[in-house]
Amino acid sequence: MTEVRYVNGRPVYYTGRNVQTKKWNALDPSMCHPFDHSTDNQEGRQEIKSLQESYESIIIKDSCDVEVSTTDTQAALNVQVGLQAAIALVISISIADSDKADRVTQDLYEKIKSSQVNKQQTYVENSRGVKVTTTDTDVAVNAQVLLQVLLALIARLDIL
Amino acid sequence: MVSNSDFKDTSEKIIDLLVGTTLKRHNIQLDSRNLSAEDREQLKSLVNELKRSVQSLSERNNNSENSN
Repeated sequence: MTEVRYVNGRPVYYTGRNVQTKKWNALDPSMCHPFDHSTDNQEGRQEIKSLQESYESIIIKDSCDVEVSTTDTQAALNVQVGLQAAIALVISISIADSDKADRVTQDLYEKIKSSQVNKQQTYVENSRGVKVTTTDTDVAVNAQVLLQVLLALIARLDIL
Repeated sequence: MVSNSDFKDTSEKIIDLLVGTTLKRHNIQLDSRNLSAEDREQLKSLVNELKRSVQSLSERNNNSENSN
């Protein structure tokens, strides 16, 4: 049931729809800056924070015989996840004290944080016989860094 | 300009140093004694597999770059 209130003698119906949140205003000193959220929550964060985003858009208009090939970022991400799991595995089996293992994992991960954002836009219009090849050169870099961390750990275990 | 492979060596050294100092700071010596022979073998093949995956990933990247 909708709630009815009277403002200045007229009925006002509240339909339950949320009032829009106030837009951030740069001139209002009482408003918290959108980037000003405290990020001091390192405690317990143990994943490898590697942001990797790929935005790619290819627009083809009024054209024919257009060949497009792009990089498969999913393959790279899969390898990355595998490497992260392997690093965690090696640390957990080679350090008996699990608290210590967690601390080392976190310490290491904090240092190899990386972020990569790839944005590409291609526009083809009124063309014939065009070949478009796009590459994401960053895509393998994360995986390479993680592999080096894994190899550095493995070298200390002396099993290869 | 530094070539890609030269830089790879450098970054390998940096990361090795980083791992080493991190372990040292926590006073930790990685210990493989409690690993069974089977575990070692599994770990070895896992690492080699991941190595190959990363290699094929970078090769694919290089190939598509060269074909441009």
